[in-house]
Amino acid sequence: MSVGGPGDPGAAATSAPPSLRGAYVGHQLRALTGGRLGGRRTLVAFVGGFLAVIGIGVAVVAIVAPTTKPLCQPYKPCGPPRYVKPLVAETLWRSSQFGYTLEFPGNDFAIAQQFPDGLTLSGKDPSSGNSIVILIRAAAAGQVGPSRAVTNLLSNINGVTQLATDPDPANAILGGGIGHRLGAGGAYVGSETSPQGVSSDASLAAESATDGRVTVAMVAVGATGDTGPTSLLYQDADSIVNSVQWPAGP
Amino acid sequence: MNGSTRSRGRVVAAALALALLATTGVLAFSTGRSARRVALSARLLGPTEANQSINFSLVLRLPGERKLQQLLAAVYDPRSPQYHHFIDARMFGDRFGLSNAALASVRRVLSAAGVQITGEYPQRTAIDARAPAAVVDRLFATRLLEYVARDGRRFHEPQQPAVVPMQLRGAVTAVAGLNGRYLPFPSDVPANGLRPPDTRLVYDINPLYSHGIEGQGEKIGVMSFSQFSQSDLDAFDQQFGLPAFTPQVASVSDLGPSTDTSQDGEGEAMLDLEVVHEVAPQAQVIDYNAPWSTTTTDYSSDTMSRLVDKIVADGQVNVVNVSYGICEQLSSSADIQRSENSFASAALHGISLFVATQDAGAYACQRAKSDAHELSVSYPSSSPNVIAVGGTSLSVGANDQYVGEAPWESALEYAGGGGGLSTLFAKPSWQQALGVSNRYSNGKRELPDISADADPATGWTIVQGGQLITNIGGTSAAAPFWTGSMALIDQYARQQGIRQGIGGVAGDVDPMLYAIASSPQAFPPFHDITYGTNRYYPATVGWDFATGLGSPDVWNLARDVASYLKSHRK
Repeated sequence: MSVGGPGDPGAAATSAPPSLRGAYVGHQLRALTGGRLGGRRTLVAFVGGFLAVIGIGVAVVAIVAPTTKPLCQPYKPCGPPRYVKPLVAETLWRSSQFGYTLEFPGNDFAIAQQFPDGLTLSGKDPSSGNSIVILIRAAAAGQVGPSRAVTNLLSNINGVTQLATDPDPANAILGGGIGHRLGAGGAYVGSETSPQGVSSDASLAAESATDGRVTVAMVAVGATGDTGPTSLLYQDADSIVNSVQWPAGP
Repeated sequence: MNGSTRSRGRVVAAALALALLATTGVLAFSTGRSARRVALSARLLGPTEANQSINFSLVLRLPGERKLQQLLAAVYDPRSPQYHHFIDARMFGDRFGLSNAALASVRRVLSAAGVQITGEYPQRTAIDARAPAAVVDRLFATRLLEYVARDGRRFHEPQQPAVVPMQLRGAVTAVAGLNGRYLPFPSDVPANGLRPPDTRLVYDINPLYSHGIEGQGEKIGVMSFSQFSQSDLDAFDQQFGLPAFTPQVASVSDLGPSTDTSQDGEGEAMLDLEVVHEVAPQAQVIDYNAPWSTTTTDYSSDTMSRLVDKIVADGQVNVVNVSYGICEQLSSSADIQRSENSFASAALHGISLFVATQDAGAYACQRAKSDAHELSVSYPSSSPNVIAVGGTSLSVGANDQYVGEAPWESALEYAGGGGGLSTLFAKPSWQQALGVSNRYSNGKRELPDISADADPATGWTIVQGGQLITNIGGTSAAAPFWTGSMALIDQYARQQGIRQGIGGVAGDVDPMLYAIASSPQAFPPFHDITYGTNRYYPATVGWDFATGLGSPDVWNLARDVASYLKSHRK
């Protein structure tokens, strides 16, 4: 498995900008006195000299004196660059085909399958002990958009039959997306048949988004009782999709 | 989970494992996380017992309403001679409230009808009262019905809206507190989070501490609807080397303090108190506490307003945290009328109320009604007289230094930082900054004003129930963080020689925050968040519906505030 080690959020640390504050450089201007000069010539020479000294002084001040500290203009960069990276260093995974990365909680999930474009994570619900699964796949954005990516991923799930949109409006996924980009989302229901031939209900939640280059889709699958907004499955799925870093950055 | 469901779940599990994985993998066990649902529906029990005691309040007419609005605008307009000339509760009542004669008349009518007056306030915004259900039914031409919610909470609700009787219409505008179906609820989402040292570093608080600014002399109000655990506060202080503190409890006299010791209720109280304390460790904290119990009917749905009225009447605190709310569409209009009177008096007193925008992103109603899909915002955060605090997801570097933030968005959990357009209130004149006028704008109040870390995945560390709980979030973590920070900024401004008669140095700080954001500053006061969404609205350059003006660099903001106030001193 080409599973990376723990992510290092510090790798993204940026260096502080140089201080904008400079020390004030003091200086003195002294009048230069030549020989004794008289009359109008003296006055002209004095005024000329005075202006020259002033000019030199201004030039010196302009060169060596500190500039006034620039004010931070509203909503113009006035500090280190800012971007988003997850706080918690979880297990890092990178798509060898598309270059996007994600993090998943290694204590909750293990990689069951992985491909150049995505992976399948499996875990267990802590309350029921049931298996819970998160599938993530990607495609070139020029070929597949977010909605289509969800459809494709759902259609490639084996073992779930009678797949349909969840009719309960209470289960609708509003504002679905990946990696802090809005895209598509939806809730689905299906029927699962065990090797013993017993059918039972499964719930699926899907999200997808694109950065214009790559489209990433995620489907979380669990027993109906192990899904929903307060379930571990959905909490972890949210964290995973929020951790997606697009290859071109934000 | 019953046996049948569990069995079915296991079948699904086996099938999923076989069909989906088709491979062997190490199955990891997760740690449990607490979960909570809000009651969505209720069962009618029947008419409320005739002799059941009902708490409610009468919203008093403010004859000086027009002048009140003019003064509110003037007090927060730097060009006005009235700028930051705050008035106390009694002066508010004298200038804008009913006359003594009118109040006496109201008392006579109520007494004759069998209504007991349980509370009055010098600001004359409302009268608290109690009466048997039969009296309420008769006096207000309604019929109270009793319900039990899915979570077991009992409440009453008028069958039809209460009508103010003719003899009171000159003095009373509405009857509040009668509808308990939808009550504001806490905004926390239980889930190695932000410890106090991290918070100080990430949001740049340490330089204030270096200047001796730790909240000394400041009094912070925290609105609570459950009890808190002193032993948890002590454990939190010991864990992080903070000074010990015991909040002073102040309750609404006729209702008394809350008796709620439920895990959810206490969790909110502990989060609010501990976050406020970790930011401003030397500040005195007053826990304004009232019952909002799930185990008793001895409450009133206008309890929040009662607490605000008490806070204003007491005049002790300058900054207040409110981590409760509910979407506008589910709020009782009578309760909102009552609250708006209270918030106006607080703003004129120079009090800042930091209110959480709730945790459902752009869909505030979804938290209370999971099938409510309309864009919505929560009340009271939408009030023009409070500061609406939204939520972010925080990123830090290897040494806990600030790296960046995105809006908090967790679609599968129906969660995110609250933000959007109010349906009730017009956009206040001071709400101006780059980004405020945008393609979604419609002339209504826009939320949130500001934000801070609220994503449980990047969240806060507290002690509750004797346990160190990591990664607790919600905008009700962001709100107390801002409340504590503003107490520090208030102290810093005073240290810089800025004085006020009453209230905080900047009063309701909202207009000032927008003014600071809109003009060049010596120090960048806000982290502008430009990437991500709150499940609908995008974060953009400048103000946005996902994160408002952004999160603070507290030290920078403190210096900008002091500079702003000095330059606008009257």
